[in-house]
Amino acid sequence: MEDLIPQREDARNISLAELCTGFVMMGLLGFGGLGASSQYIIVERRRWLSAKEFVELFAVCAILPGGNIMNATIMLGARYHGVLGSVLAMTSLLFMPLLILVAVVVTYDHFSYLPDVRAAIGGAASAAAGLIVATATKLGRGVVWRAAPICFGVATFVAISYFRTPLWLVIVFMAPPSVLMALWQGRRRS
Amino acid sequence: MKDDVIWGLFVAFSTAALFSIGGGSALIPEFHRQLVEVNGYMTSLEFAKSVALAQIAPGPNMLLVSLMGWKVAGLPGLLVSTFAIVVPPSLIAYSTWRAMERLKDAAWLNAVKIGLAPLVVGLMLASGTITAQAANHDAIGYVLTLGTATIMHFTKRNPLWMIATGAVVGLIAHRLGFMTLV
Repeated sequence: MEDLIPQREDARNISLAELCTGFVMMGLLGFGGLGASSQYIIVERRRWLSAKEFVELFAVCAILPGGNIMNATIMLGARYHGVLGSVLAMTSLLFMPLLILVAVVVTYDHFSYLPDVRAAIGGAASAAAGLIVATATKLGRGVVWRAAPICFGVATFVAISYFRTPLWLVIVFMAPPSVLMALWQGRRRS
Repeated sequence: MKDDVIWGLFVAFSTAALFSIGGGSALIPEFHRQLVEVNGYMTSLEFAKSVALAQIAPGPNMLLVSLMGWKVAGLPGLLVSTFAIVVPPSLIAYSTWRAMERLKDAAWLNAVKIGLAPLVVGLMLASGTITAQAANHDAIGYVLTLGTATIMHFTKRNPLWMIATGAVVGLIAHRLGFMTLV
């Protein structure tokens, strides 16, 4: 499948300033986690990566310890500007959300008794769940949906959402066959 | 005593970070065990409130840890907890990146990425479903979730608009008497 969103041709020449502003935006827009906002900034707005590159980076980050997008932040920073890029990208990502978090904690107790506030937050939380669902369906554009990936994707979804299987168990049992299948299909094509 | 708490936070969160696969939300049961059951730094109710508050603020889900550090030991607690959850995994991510740069033409590395991709899509869809089940208490909630997902799938709209719309719809639904408050 062709990538729906073309990658920038000068992908290797992203300035430190562009990197930092991108990650600041990603942090500020990251309601309900960074899945939706990272997709929005990295693939749709700034076009640092194609949809296919993004889902593959995400995949590697998901099997490493730590937050998925935080790992991706380190890797993207390193790709464009080495250690300095990693440190600045991570700082840009975390700074504003930390300030907002403290502000929310300090003010929340004064307003949380108001039903209007709780209703608005409830509505925002429902919308945030929708953002995560859309991130999943958009990530799906970066996958070549043959029979094998469909089976592995559906099995992962059912195992985690319905059976609440711990993630490490899913990875131990699903990743090896899925990777071997990809290796085998790659060999057959070439 | 205070130093003990700071050190306790560092140990709890850095070990959790190194054993965490799949991001922040997957760690919530482990945080509960460490902070409430093992160390008694906060009550179960305080813990649940922190989880809800962390959802309101934007940013990585992992910042739940910063909030808990703040609750337990103020600003030093926040800084130490954030450091513990960010730095150890970052060092691993950086080394992995260097290794991948060297190996980028290897067929097996390519197969690893391609093979993991469908798992990640399934995992993300599962996170969306689990978050929706926690956030939605009535039909309005599910309408908001599905509406947001549909609009975001077909457009490149800024996610902030969807959050703001959700908040306004929640407020109006409440004023009209449709919204279940928890």
